[in-house]
Amino acid sequence: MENSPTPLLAVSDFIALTNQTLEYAFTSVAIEGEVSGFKVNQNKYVFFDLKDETGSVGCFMTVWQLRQPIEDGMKVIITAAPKLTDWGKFSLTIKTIRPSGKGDLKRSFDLLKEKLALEGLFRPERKRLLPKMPHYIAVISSTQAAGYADFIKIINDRWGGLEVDVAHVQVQGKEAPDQIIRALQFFNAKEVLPEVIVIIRGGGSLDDLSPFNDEQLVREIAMSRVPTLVGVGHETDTTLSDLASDQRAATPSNAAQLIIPEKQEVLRHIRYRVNAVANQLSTEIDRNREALKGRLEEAISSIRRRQEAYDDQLEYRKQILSGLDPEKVLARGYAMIRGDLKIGKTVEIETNFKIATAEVVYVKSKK
Amino acid sequence: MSKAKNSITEKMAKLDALLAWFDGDEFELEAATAKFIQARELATSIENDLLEVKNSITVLSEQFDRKK
Repeated sequence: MENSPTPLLAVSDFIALTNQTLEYAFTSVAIEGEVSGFKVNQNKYVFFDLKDETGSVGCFMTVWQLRQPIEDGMKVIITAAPKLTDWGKFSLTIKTIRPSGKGDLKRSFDLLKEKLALEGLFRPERKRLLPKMPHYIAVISSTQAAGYADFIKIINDRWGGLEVDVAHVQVQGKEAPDQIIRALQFFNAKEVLPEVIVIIRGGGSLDDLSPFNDEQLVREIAMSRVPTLVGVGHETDTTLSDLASDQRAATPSNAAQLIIPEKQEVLRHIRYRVNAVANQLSTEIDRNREALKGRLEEAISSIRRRQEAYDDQLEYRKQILSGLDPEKVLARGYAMIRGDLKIGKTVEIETNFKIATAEVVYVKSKK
Repeated sequence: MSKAKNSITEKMAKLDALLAWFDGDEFELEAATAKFIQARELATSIENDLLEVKNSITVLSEQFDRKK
């Protein structure tokens, strides 16, 4: 006799009920294990087993969800939803996956770096120059991060009149890459584009900085219309986002120094240039004054030369004129006769000292 | 964008152009003094702006934690 009747279910109903129960019990589960049998089908679907010393469970995800390279033997942490397939196979449908072992993080980093380098994302010729003196800057960071505070303090110390738009995002954890990507897309779609996008966060462990090695984020940085400056972690940390950016800063503080000139330095430069022009102008005025003085002296000399020439000519004429003076002729003993030289007429005779009147008594032609 | 910020950038560009004029082919001594006075006043104005004008930092209200 059966006290409580067992419900009779169709197979598909049983599967649906099981999935409902699983979903209720494990909305999302995080599991750490080692990857085995990793394979990609039709370039779309990823299958592998997650195992430890004694257990193994099948996993499924899409290629799109694979943000970092994974390979057999890697230790990973997944977040997933358990599911019974229509064929009765139990598997985990993965939401996120990331390498968890230190060596595995490094391995994943190296694999992605090699892949993206082959595609040319890190080539030096792709790098654009950052604006020399930007006035509109976009910042992507967490406003709670120490690195952000350092950045803001330094730009305020170094320059004035800047317009800075800050996109507050997570810079750590599995949500970080997508949030940074959305912020990048937001700034790149603005009607008035910022002149540079600065992505910053302070130091952290390799795992803390792993969002900046996310493949989609690295590609988004490389594709940005607006030049990018990435300052993540400490000087010794290099992420793939750093490599894909137009310029890498060693730290957030260094990012501020690279993007903003130091106002005292600029003011010194301005004063130097204005003084240089003042000296140039003064030299030019002196040069022109000297040239003018030279020309005036030349004109005065020319006038003097002409004056002397006129004086010489006048003196010469005066001498000629002097030779023609009748008094001088009389002084030499000659006499001057005035009147009509006809017999019986009276004429006046003038010598140097005397004047006489005489009668003409004889006239004879010389020829 | 703020007027102050534009003003500094524009003034810097104007100053660059003025100073470049002194080295260019269009240089004329007759106009140089007036240009120099203009450049000196502009430099003083930029200095005042840089020392007095603050940066405008805006944390956007947009949320980036989910797809729109």
